[in-house]
Amino acid sequence: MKLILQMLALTLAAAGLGAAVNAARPGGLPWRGDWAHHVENRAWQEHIRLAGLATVRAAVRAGAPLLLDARPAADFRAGHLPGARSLPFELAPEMLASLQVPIARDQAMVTYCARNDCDEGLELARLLRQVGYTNVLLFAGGLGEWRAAGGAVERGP
Amino acid sequence: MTRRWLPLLSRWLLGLLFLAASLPKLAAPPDLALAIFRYHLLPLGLVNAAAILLPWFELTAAAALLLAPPLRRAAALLLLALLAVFTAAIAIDLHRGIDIACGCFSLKPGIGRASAWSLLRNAALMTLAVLAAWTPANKKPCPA
Repeated sequence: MKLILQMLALTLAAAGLGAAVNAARPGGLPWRGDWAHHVENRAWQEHIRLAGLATVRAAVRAGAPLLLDARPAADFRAGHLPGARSLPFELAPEMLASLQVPIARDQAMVTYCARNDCDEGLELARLLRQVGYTNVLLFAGGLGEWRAAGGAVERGP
Repeated sequence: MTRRWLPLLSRWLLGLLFLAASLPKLAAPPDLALAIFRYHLLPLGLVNAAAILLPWFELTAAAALLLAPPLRRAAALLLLALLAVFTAAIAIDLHRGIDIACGCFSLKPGIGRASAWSLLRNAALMTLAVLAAWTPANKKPCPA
């Protein structure tokens, strides 16, 4: 009984400290975050698989899966994941329709955009699935997470 | 002799490890919230609350383990409970095939991917917690 009370006391002390520091801290975290609209949650709800950094690193090294940059072409030229191809979300339907060499429907692909607060990567993944591609993943952290992890960036077309 | 130093060593190792683990989480609650969210295990409404409180559970229990002898056993058992929860979370996500960062000792992108190795490490830490909770000095003497 004493042990349980001690554990409870430690838990309450920790919770009290956490709440107090969070309240006192400038820019403290709100107790309820808007995760429902977070891009990763939307992907999760739609059963779009998420690629982590390890998957993306492997893709950069091996050249597969196909990395697709969903941002506008100007942003792609300013810097993109090594080996990625530009497929801006807004232009994707026409670009996919005008492909000279069709991409196999089961080709593994990873879409991404700037950071985890952009949604072009998700929209592109959704579009690719709608037109019949079956192996589409989303790298939700995007170029921002790649850079933060020390990843090299390629420039140009 | 072993009965004396093994719990002591376990307490110090575990205490210092959890102290080190809590610091990056205390420094960056939004990053911790994202790491917790990426496990897709907690209801979304609890993600931020977990990010606010979790590092303090780690820090308080680690501090009690190192500095408060009367609370050592409770602190070790609290850390054991935390480790059990973390291990279950990693195991579930590995089983679901989710590629995530562990978020255990660092929140920097690309560091500490959750893997079978994380499970082994946690099993070792849980053993330490059990040893740290073991207090032979407080045991009643055996009848002769």
